[in-house]
Amino acid sequence: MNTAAAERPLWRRLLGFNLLAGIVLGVAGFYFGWWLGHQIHAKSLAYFADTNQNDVALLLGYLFFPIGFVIGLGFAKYPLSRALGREPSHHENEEGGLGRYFGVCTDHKVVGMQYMVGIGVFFFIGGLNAMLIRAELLRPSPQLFGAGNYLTIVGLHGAMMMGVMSSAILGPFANYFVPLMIGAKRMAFPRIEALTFWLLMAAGVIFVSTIFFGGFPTGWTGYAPLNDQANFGFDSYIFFFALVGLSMTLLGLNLIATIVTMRAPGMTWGRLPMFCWGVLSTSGLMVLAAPVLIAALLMVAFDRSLQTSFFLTSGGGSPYLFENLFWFFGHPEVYVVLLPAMGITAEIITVHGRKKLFGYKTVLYTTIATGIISFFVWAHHQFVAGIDPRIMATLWRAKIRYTVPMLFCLAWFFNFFIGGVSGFFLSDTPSDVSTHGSFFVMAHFHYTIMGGLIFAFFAAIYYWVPKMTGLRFNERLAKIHFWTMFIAFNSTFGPLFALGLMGMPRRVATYASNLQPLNIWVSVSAFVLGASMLVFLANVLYSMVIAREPAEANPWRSKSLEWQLPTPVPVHNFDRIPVFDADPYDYGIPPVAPRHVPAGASGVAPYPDRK
Amino acid sequence: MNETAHTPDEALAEPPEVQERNLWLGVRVMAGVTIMFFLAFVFAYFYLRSLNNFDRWRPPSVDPPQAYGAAIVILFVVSAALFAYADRAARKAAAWLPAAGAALALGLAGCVVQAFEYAHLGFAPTRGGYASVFLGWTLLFVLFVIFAMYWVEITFATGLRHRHDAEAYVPLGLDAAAFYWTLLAVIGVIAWGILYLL
Repeated sequence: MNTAAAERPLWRRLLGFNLLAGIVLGVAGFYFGWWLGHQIHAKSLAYFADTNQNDVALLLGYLFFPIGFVIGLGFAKYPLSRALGREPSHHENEEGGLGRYFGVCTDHKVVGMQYMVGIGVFFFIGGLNAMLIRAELLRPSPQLFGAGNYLTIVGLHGAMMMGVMSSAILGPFANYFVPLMIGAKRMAFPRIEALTFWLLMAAGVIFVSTIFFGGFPTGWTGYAPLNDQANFGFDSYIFFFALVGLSMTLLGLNLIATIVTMRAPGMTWGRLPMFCWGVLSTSGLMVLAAPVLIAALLMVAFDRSLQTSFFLTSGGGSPYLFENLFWFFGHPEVYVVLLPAMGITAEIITVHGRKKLFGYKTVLYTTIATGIISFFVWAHHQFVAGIDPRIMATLWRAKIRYTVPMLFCLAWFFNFFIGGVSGFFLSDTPSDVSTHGSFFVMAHFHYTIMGGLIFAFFAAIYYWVPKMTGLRFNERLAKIHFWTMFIAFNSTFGPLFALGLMGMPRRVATYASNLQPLNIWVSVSAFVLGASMLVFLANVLYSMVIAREPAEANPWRSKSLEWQLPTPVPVHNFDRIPVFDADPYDYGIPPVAPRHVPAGASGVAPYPDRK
Repeated sequence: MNETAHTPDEALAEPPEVQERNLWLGVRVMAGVTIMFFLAFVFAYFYLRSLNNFDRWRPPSVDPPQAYGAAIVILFVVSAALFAYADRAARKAAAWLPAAGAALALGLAGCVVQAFEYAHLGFAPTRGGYASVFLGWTLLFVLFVIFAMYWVEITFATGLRHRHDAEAYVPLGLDAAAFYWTLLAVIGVIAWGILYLL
């Protein structure tokens, strides 16, 4: 923390633009919108006149909450100074100690860490909802929550995971590592980068608030006409996904600009690490797909507040319009979470196999083609990509090191293979007729999304967090985490295929009693899966708080640029922009020795032990 | 690298064209975002029009005031043209501030006229699919225009601060703002054609 800030008393440090002010102004903004909505609402807009509530008030409350929140955090200062004609700057609050993490900070590494913690919190909430779902399904009839609350919990789980977790890899890891990998000192638009994180946090808070307004019955897809008929709780869904969409769009825009324009000399397209290619492809999907989702959600908001009829058949609209618009976003969304995960596996497999990535260009073209093709199948979920065997071919005759990140990568292949193959049955019309809306679909997309995203997410955590924090994880706890998670994951979602084929429907708390034994099995497995996350949390606490063993600068002996920098990485990354003269996967003989670049070194050569 | 071994200015030094490149690309990506956003409304328009559920696509007397529509689109187009001229003039070291100021005034005037149109619309948003699309599209379009006007204002205000500089001054992002405002004006013309003429 800088000296001037440290000398100020605590009460002075709490005043000003920070998270506390953000919360205060956010709440004030919510009540302002709420008040405004009640001032302008007409009787026809009130669903329950006697409770003095209406959608206009709640929607305006949700609109002004994030506005007040980001103003309190300090995001309004710069736009105002620019409006007064002052010169642009790209650095703010980058050297302020812990305070950087609770306000606007333009250091991409701080934003990456913010994402890591913030997404972890919402991942925990989403996971907790999954545990509640499985607890309810221990018995064939509703016991714990009732049908309505069960639906809300299902919706909270699904939407939280699909919304917030879309940024699970791009948020923490792309923000943190892409500039390091390409030799840039910063992101192209650092304030926009910071804004994307805080918008996502505001979205999560808004979404959780649905429990105060009766929840919502639509599941994560929010289909019409349910979305128009739903109670006030659905308003939180609208603003949650709209803010998530806005955050994704800005994040994608920033990453595209960074990768395209800020690469260091020598970092040609042919040398760009696969992770960056995955991020670039995903960013392309995000900036093109998310705006359509935002538009669709605003149409829903208009239907619910201004009484338009975009999705009301009786008013000249159509619910199918929503489905088309939603899936124009929804299908690429699968690849939004998948492509960076593929990039991570490519990075980790080459490092741990000590081999050049097999078929770099083919993997690259597959990545790009997957992104493009995903746009053309929004009307029907098809198996367009599945696993790319060329990445696996990298392992052929490789000297594999079975570290924890590598284990997660191998599990990723296994899970995603099952997810991909089961997708065939859903893209085939006759079989889809019987499996659609059943637990078969649930099993498929959990293998695809959780198997494809979360396993890569944990691979990335174990791989990159030692570089981010300078501390190493406890290996034994990490392996316990992996094996319990992998076994429990398959034990949870494998039987769901059978349950689906036996006719168990999604989103219904009641099922035939002959399905109970299998459901008990699944629920117990799910609880073990949840417990595996506690093992991970225990490892985080033990390794990062108690043991605090320093990590090597390059524990995996990687040749990628981020590993050649000191740990933790300095504020502005490089003294001078590096010059690349090799590709990042040039592994082979002689093996790479661990190398530590001391603090103060400048002009870091990216792959120093080559040649 | 040691954080304390250099002054911040040295550490943050980067070629001046870096941010120009970022803005050049960023605004084009932003153009893609904007186009996709309004394509959703184009899709909604033709989809609902083709379905015409319960004959409620466009009941009789649901006609927006043509004069307001024409006035709005003319103001936006002239404003965008003036700002594009300002951009070119700035690059030739010619006077550009008057054109930029006029572009800002006309753009804001277009937003005000849009508000007047809502007050004299003659139909409610409840009057079928067309009314829904009309209201949603135009309302959100004006929000995008206000964002563009903010950008225009930034360049104008920065230019005002440097109006007495010895060397000709071109604000960072002037061409990006001009590109984006021109794009919005084109979308405005298309919206006018679809919503008022079809």
